[in-house]
Formats: sequence, C-alpha cells, structure tokens
Amino acid sequence: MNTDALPATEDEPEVATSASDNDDTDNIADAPEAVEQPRRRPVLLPLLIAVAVLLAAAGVVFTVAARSADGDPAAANHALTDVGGTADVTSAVTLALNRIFSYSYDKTDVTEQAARDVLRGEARTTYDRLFAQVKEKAPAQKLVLTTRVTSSAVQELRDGNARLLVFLDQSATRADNNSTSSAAAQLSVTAEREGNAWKITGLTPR
Amino acid sequence: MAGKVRWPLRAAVVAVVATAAFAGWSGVTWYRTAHSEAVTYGTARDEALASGRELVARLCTLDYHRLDQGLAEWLDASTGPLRDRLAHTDEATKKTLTQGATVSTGKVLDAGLSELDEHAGTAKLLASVEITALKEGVAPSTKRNRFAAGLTRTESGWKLSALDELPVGAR
Repeated sequence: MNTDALPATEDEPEVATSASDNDDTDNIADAPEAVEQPRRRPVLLPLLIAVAVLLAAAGVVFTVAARSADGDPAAANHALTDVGGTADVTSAVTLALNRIFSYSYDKTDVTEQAARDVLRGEARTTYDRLFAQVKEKAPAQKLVLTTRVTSSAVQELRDGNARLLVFLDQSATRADNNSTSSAAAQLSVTAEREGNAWKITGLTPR
Repeated sequence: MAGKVRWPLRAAVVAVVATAAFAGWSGVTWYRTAHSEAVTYGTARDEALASGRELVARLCTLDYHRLDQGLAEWLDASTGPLRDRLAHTDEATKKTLTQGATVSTGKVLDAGLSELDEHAGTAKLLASVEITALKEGVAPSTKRNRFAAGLTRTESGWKLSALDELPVGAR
C-alpha cells in the first residue's frame, strides 16, 4: 500500500514542474515584447491599478452611504410615508378604542369580549385599572359610556409595531338620574401586528 | 504572440471594469436610497414634528414680566392667519395679560403629525400640552389641553399657521 502510494505523490511535483516549465517558456516568448515597449507598460499598469483602487474606494463609500441612508431613523419609521399602513393602523386602533371604552351597564359582556379581542399584555392591566371604577359604579348608576376617537396621529410605524397619539371624547349617561357628562381624554397607544390584525399592547393616558 | 497582452495588464483591465461596475451600481443604489420618498418624506415629517412641538410649547408660554418679548416670540413662531391674529394684540389685551400677573409655561407631553403634505409644505399636528400657571398668592395650577396645530413651511423653517384647542367636553 505504502509503496503504491509513494510513486503517486511523487508524480504530482513532476506535473507542477512541467507546468512551471511552460510558464518559463511563455515568459521567454514574452520577453522580447517587453523589451519592445519598455516605456508604455510601466505607465499603463500602475495607472489601471490606481483607477481600479479609486473605483473600489468610491464603491465602498457609496455602499456605506447607502447603508446609513437606509438605516436612517426617519426612513425606518413608516408613519405617514406608508399611506396604506398608516390608514390601516389608524382605523384598527380607532375601532378598538371605540369598542373597549364604550360600555353599557346591561351589556357588559360586549365590552368584555372586545377587550379580550384587542388588548394584549400591559394594555390589559392598564385598561382594567382605568375601567375598574366604571364597572363598579355602572350597575347602580345604570351607566352608559360612549367613547369616540376624535383625532389620531400615527407617530411610529415599523416592523409590525406602531405608536399613536389619540384624542377621545367620552360621554357618560346615567339612566338612574338622567344626567349626562362628557370628558376629553388623550391616550398614547402602542400596537402590535398579529397576523392581519392590530392588537393594542400599551395604553398611557396623556 | 506580438499582440498578446501580458497577464498583469489583462488582470488590471478586468479589475478596472469590475470596480467600475461596482462603483456604478453602488452609486445608483446610494442615490436612490438617499432620494427615496421614505427618506426625504420621513425626514420632513420628523423635522415638522420637532419644530411643531417646540412652537406649540412656545405659544403656550407667557411671562407677564416680559410681555412684549413673549408676544414677539409668538409672532416669530407663527405665520399666516395665526400671525395676523397675534399681531393685532391690542393694548387692552396686553393690559389684561399684565394685570393677570401670571407666568404660564407650556410643556408638550406628547405630539404627533396627523397629516403631512411635503409638497405643499403643510402639516397638521396633534399635541397634548400641560400648561402650568404660576400666580403670586395662588397655588400653582396645571391643566392639560389638547391642541390641533396647523404647520406651514416658510423660508425660515416650519411655523404655526393655526393653533386650536380641541375643546374638553363640558363636565
């Protein structure tokens, strides 16, 4: 086995030697040409190399500039720039807030269901806290609370996450003494995309 | 053999062609990215919002000690119909403001653009503002207000062309 393998490995250097022999003959054949044009070539080759280096450098600079422009926070945020996406999240959040902050003492399950549908994580905790009082007083006061989003602005929209500032008008009617009161509210809302729907993940009164 | 170019030269030509292609492609990519709507419109949006926040806070701030200076700052922050209205602040109003002896300070708690027409240079801003009023002999009061502000781009940047309080429902 060993004796068989040895000649095989010895063959390879021979091939290499013959290849370099060919190179040598090429060089010899080229040599007269090099002597013929001794002035032209030394200028042309460095010039080409310099041009190539400059072009490569320009390419790198452009690539870095393009990367930084692309990573520009202004570009990464698609609020208003993505018209469809902005309208989509605005309408989803508007509908969701109208539903979860509208409450009728005799149809509490509707609001409960809405809250389960659209609220996630921290928003749920905040909502329960904001709504605890309403729930407590509602049956005795025969309270009907209606909430309407009056205006909203999408502040951030990126990678399935959104942040909005929302103004709401609330009107509360007490059927026990037929009184109506209204109030204004401002909420900072964060939402996250879940499949095709937007879910509210944060509610901060402003 | 005489027409045959030596390999370093050939390699150099190939390198020039390849790097030229790379530079050309990356140049076009950069130009497209830097001038894309996502960047230019996004930058305009962020500028309008930052200016709007500052301008709304300024128009919610007034120190009766420096009434003229305060009104001059208001004029500087506004343009169009709002500026015209503020410019017509008469002596009676100034007197009332001085007699009110109140130092109001506005702080924008949160704000966002609801509309932006970059081409026309107009935007609409929603802002939640906390206004603190200090008056001698009276406990300081803070009030939260909702504002819708109209912004217009002028030669000297974004200015307020409208500032309307969105009324808080009567309690």
